[in-house]
Amino acid sequence: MTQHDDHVDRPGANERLVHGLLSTLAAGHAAGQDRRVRAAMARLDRRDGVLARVGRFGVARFAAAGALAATLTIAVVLSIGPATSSAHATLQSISNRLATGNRSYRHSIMLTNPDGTEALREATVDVGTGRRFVFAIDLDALPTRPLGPRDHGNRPGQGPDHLGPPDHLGPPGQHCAPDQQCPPGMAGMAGECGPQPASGDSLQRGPDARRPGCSPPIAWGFDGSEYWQIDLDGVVTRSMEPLRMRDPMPLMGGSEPDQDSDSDEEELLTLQPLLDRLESGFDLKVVTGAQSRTAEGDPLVVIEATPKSDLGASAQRTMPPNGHAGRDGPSVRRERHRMQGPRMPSRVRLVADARTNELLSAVAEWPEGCRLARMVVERVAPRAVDDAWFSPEQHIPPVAGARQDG
Amino acid sequence: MRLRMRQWPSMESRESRAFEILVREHADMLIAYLRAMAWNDALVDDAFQEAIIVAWRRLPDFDRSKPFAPWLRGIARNTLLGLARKQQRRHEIAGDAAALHLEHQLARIESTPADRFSDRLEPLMDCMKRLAPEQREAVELVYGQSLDNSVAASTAGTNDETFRKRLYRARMQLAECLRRKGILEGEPA
Repeated sequence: MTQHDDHVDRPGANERLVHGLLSTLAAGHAAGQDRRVRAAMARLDRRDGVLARVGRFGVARFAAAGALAATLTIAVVLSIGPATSSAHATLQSISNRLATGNRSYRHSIMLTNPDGTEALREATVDVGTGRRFVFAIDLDALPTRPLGPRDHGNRPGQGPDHLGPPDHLGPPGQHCAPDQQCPPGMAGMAGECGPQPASGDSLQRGPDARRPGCSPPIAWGFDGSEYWQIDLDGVVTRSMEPLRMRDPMPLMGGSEPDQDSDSDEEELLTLQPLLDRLESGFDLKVVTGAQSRTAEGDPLVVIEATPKSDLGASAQRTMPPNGHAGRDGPSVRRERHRMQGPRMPSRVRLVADARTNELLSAVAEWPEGCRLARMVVERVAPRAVDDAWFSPEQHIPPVAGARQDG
Repeated sequence: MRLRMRQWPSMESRESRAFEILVREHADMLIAYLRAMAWNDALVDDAFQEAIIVAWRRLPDFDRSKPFAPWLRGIARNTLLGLARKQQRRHEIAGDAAALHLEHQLARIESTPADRFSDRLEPLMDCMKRLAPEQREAVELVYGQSLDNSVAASTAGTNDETFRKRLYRARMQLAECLRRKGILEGEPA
């Protein structure tokens, strides 16, 4: 049938309707429908609880960086259906099915520092009914460097804080005491590719960063009832609202969305947006000949995804070194963002236990030269860490504030 | 340190529970409508979720003297079109006239007396029994067992193209059967 004819092809439309009706009669439809509704209601819950009240910019921010509770949780609880011969069908199973129960995952984000070293951000996540998580920076993996121009000026005109202050630190726009100014710039777009300015680490290490209340966060978590954050000085901040916490960007290695960013610019740091784009932007294949069983002998499904050729070229585009010039208007920034490409990974590999329907791991790798190098989500043994792990007290640096650079 | 210990909003409210019941009641209809509008399952699932969220947002605007289902379908269609546009799949979505026809047909189905949407599809089950065996097998493999077309084709011992045509004819036969039963409107195929 012609899709846009004003003159309707009724038999054709009826045939489409029969397709729709038949799909509700499938054996597994009721369970799938239940999952679908539960997923929608869960999203509703989150949006109603957080996103609805923070506005568009807040939504973008939340979605981009601080939304472990909302995105990673969804991402890692996704499960794969019984072995299928179609990579697309399997991916759809991943995207459609929400698992129940509690599971634990380790989430690692490897960033490439300007000096060529790598910085690791690592998280432990319990998903399902007992959702909890901890993100922590591996301090030893961070390079030592003085503050550079990018740290102080990467977003001129917008001030250091686009998120708003933590609850205890004063009015919006101020992270510190009124006469102080926090160092700006949780620098480094997450998937940013191409030449980087000389200084670009996301963790502030200069003297400004050590002012009380101004230190960057080094750990961030949710213990099941309360969000918390620890800064480099060991100061713990707690909140019922993740958005009121200090900027979680450095933990996530995430970007700072522009005011004019839209939902198309959703970060790929978490697995769910990645999965959402796999089908349209990637060539998928079920890998044969790869390790096909777990150590316990359970069969595995392995899917590899590579960007479709046209998107691959876009993903490889580099960004001008001074790509954050603040005088550009929204349209220019938006266009630059397009030019920059969608920050697509160059390769994604999903592994699932075909017998138990569990997602075992997801590995996304970005092209060389990207700030974001690799993201890994892997399942760990249930209760791999005890309850105390999710409380902030477990993550305060041994000698808070006494750590010496270098 | 001043902490603002605001209560985390909960979906345990009576209103949200009522909304969930409403959603569950209309979920089969909605998914059937979306699948009739678009063939892509992932797109349909995305649109389903977004439609629920938008419906929740706009619930205060809903005129409660009118039926809920058409209102929900209107939201779902707009959501689907928005997503399809974003994903450059607009061409895969049924056109305006076809959408209007689908809306009309679903309203007819909903007007038949039954407790659940699935009960209203009894005539469809009856029509399936009248299909030729190979057509019935095709429907069973794709819709009953949720196999994709390629796997279903090889299971049926035929090639993809033949199987695709067989399935298409089966759906046309079913549509014609439903038309003869007065469930659907339209001229004979």
